[in-house]
Amino acid sequence: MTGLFAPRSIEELLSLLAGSGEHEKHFIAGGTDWLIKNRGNISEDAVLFDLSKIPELRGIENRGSYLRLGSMETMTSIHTDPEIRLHAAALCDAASSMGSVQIRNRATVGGNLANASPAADTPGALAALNASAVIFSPSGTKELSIEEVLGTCPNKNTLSDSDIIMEFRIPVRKSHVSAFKKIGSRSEVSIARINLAVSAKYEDGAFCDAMVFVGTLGTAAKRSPEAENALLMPISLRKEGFKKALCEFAGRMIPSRSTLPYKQSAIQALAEDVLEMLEARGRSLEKSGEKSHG
Amino acid sequence: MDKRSYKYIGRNVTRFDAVDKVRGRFPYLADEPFPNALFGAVLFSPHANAVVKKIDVSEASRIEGVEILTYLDAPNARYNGSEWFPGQDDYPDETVLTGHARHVGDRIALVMADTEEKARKARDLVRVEYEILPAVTLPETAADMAGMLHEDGVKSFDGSICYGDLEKAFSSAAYIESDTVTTPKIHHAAMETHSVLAIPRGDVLEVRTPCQITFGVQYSIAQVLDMPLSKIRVIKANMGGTFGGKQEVVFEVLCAWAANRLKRPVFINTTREETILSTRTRAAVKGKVETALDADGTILGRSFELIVDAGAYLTGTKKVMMAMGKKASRLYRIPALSYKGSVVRTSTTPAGACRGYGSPQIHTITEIHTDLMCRRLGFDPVQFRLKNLLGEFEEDPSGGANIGKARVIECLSRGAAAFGWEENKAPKVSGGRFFTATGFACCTHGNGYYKTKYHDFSNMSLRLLEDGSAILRASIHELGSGATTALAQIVGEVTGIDVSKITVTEADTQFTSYDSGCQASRVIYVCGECARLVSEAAVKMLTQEASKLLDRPVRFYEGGLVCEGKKLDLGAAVREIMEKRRVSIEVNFEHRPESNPASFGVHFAEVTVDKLTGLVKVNRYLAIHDIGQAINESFVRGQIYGGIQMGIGMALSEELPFDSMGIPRVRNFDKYHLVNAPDMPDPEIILIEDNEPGGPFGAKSIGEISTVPVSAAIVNAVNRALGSSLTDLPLTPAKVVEAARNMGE
Ligand SMILES: Cc1cc2nc3c(=O)[nH]c(=O)nc-3n(C[C@H](O)[C@H](O)[C@H](O)COP(=O)(O)OP(=O)(O)OC[C@H]3O[C@@H](n4cnc5c(N)ncnc54)[C@H](O)[C@@H]3O)c2cc1C
Repeated sequence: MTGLFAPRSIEELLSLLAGSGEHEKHFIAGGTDWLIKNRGNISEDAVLFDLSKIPELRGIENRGSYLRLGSMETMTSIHTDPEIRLHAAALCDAASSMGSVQIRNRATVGGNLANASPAADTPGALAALNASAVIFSPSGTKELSIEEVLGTCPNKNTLSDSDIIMEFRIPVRKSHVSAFKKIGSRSEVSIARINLAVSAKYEDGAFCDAMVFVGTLGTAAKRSPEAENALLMPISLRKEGFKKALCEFAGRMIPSRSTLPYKQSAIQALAEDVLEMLEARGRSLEKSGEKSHG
Repeated sequence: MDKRSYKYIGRNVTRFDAVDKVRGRFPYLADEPFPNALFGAVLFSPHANAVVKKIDVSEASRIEGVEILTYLDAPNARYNGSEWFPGQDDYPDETVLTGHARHVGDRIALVMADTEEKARKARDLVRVEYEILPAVTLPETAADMAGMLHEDGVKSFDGSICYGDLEKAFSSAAYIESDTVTTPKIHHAAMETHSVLAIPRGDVLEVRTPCQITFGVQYSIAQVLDMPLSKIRVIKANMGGTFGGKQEVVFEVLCAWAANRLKRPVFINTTREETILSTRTRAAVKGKVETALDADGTILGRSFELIVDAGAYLTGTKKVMMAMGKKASRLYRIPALSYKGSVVRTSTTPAGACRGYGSPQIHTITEIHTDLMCRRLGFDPVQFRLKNLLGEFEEDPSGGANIGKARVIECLSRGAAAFGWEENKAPKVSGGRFFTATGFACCTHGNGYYKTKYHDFSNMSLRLLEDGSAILRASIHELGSGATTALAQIVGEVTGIDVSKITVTEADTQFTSYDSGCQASRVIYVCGECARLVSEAAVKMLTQEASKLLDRPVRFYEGGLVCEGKKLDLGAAVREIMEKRRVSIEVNFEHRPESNPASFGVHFAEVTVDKLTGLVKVNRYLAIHDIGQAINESFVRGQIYGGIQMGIGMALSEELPFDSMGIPRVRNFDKYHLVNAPDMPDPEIILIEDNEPGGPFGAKSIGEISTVPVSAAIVNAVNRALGSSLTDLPLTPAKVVEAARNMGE
């Protein structure tokens, strides 16, 4: 390693990036993935950028049509934030169930997406909430969907080595509910064997405009159109239809993996639980007469 | 003596190391670098079964100050790191380093430098060419492949125990029932990874190690270095947990040899991955048990056939296998028994001692079998056991020590009542997919080595100091269980000296006397009794000397010296005796136990199984133990909580699997899943304290037995919930889901 920089602004980061030329570049957010991967084997010519001192990467605020979520916000700050809880419940669920207290205090939402583990928890929730990621690079900024950032390769995002995830924009949508749940080997401090994130519009007990994402089936957020359709079914058929659709979806995604039978069983449990959470949230939304919910 | 009048026995005295540990200041070996020591990084084999064709250290040795010792430099002397006394006939098949790697993590070379970073970097620059041989991963085929793994070609290490007329038992039986149960290979998961420091000091080689048997370490080193035992000084270092993982000798001999050869202090430390792959594990067992019953459900006979996986080296696994057999006749009344065990070597991480020394495996096998058998035959599992459990002072028909004041029947009946067995025994279903049921299991474990193949005694000295304080010089190994504080409580109870003024030493082979080691659940029953007896001897000497000094009768009464109705200050008496009579109050005592009773425990668990996720939640838990007398109740509870945590892991999630090439699928805590705090039940604990003869104040063991019945209790609960017959541990979510699917649809 030849240098460690802790820029105090995006502008400073930009000039440091420009100055670092051909060196291998590493961004460090909370370090919970980075340290494990790189401890003891970082290359001699690497340059490290600590993102923790850049104010532009922080903050959670309601901007009317969307929530702005800085990429350096931690899981703890996310799941304790009232705006997130109100408009992005699935993200709140994901952030509060990931890792342990110690990990949640350091792990950032930007790092969770950038690391692109197929078992990551918040990317699916963000995708289901139809969030976009604002990417900053020396050549300008762009807005990408979560799926575009993840691409198709596990453990590798599509960003180039000077791209930074600056923030997420989560649409604030009327009458929408969302939920996330995962199954690991334990109830806490456990990597997902499978996870499920859903958002949908809720009206009189029925769902529409559903977005359904499943994690661990190749990448962190695979969209399931069949499960989205199943959520539109009449209430009496919905639960079984949703379970069946997710089962088929898993079979389609990982047809030959030895873990498929287990995942197909577990995803039915997730389907039941997430549906129950959505229904409960929908009912309380209606009861409170709230206009918008996420 | 009336229990309620005890000053220290049964009291929750705070352990001496509590404050430092809570503050993170308790120093472990790795926390206190030794001046001028070389850090030793072991080069471990990445292959399961491979012969080194070429080893090239040229690049690594170009780094300044690096010292490299490879298998080519190492002595050929073979040893067995489980032996703790000369003449134990454990087959020696291990060397300090090897050119034939027999498991991933086998030791090829030791690379040393002044810093850990440099040593590890140099280690990674050593180039090794291997010829890869077929891996031996299945215990069932290991015997046939033995020659590929070990040049000695020994197929298996067999042993058997037999008594009674088994043929008659089986031919006259109304029912014969059999099950096969497999228990997994498990990592001990002590918080402190393995480390050792060796320091050459003139003609004495000093070794500091967090171990369980200093005299065993001394003996292993002596075998390889060909040095007199007296020139090897082994000091028990502060220890961050062992659970048996540090009972056998692993890196000590290598470290001692390297330090001795280079004439420099050498410190070996390991990462979690290195400790998981290259130290010891709990032996995986596949056991078939068959029981012959009469029409009322009385056991007539039982036979066992076991395959025990020793991993790459025999280690203490044959001892473990025999210990399993020795436990088989000490829980139920079994008139005829045949136990056949076969230990095989596979190209996987070696097994060895692990909390319970085979008891968790054998009782898991028999208790799961007992429940399944009862279900198939329509017997109530509580009534069946009550009928067959041993009563007090019954003999062990296999020739082991008398069972002692057994209270297992009381454990079971009180436990069944307290846990609401009758009300809860029928499984309940909720939400379509959640199945709740209760299970339980009984178990036994020992209290030392008396009447086994191994000698058991302890030698301690107690000196009363001139200010009225005391030092107990004892070869204790504090494993983290609080044993040293418990011994101080015993000394305090006998002498009346305040516990805070009593120091109990740990083992240092140069200064403390012989003891058979902190193993075999013998510390409280044997060492504790030795501490009590040496304290009594010291008190006797004190009263005699005080009587001579004052020329009047001095008695010891209610914790103090009394002379003609007047209380004397103990410190002043010791001082005056020293000054005027030139006598110090110091006694040496050797305790040779003449009994080795059984401890018993019964655990109950209520679980909820999610049929779709396969996850098992332990809702309620009760542990009830026949413990004789708790010396320190909070320590006893601590042992039980930890025992439950380990046992749930063995039942549900802990295992070290290997692929067909012998490559470990699990190398760290990311994939090795211990039960953590959020998933732990809040156990209820009941202690039955009925004074076991031969133990200090009636105390007997708890540390090992507390983990013995847990796995079977959990598995029995799951099987009751699903109506399944799961016997292949751990019951991972995938296995549970499959069983649930088979039952439901
Ligand atoms: C014990 C433990 C438990 C865990 N449990 C879970 C869990 O339950 N669920 C889960 O999803 N994950 C879990 N993780 C993984 C990890 O904590 C998360 O992925 C975390 O969100 C990563 O964020 P970080 O800030 O620590 O990222 P870092 O480790 O700092 O960075 C990770 C990667 O992302 C890149 N990066 C970080 N920020 C940016 C950015 N703004 N722009 C571009 N690239 C960036 C870094 O360069 C690096 O390559 C666990 C990890 C541990 C150690």
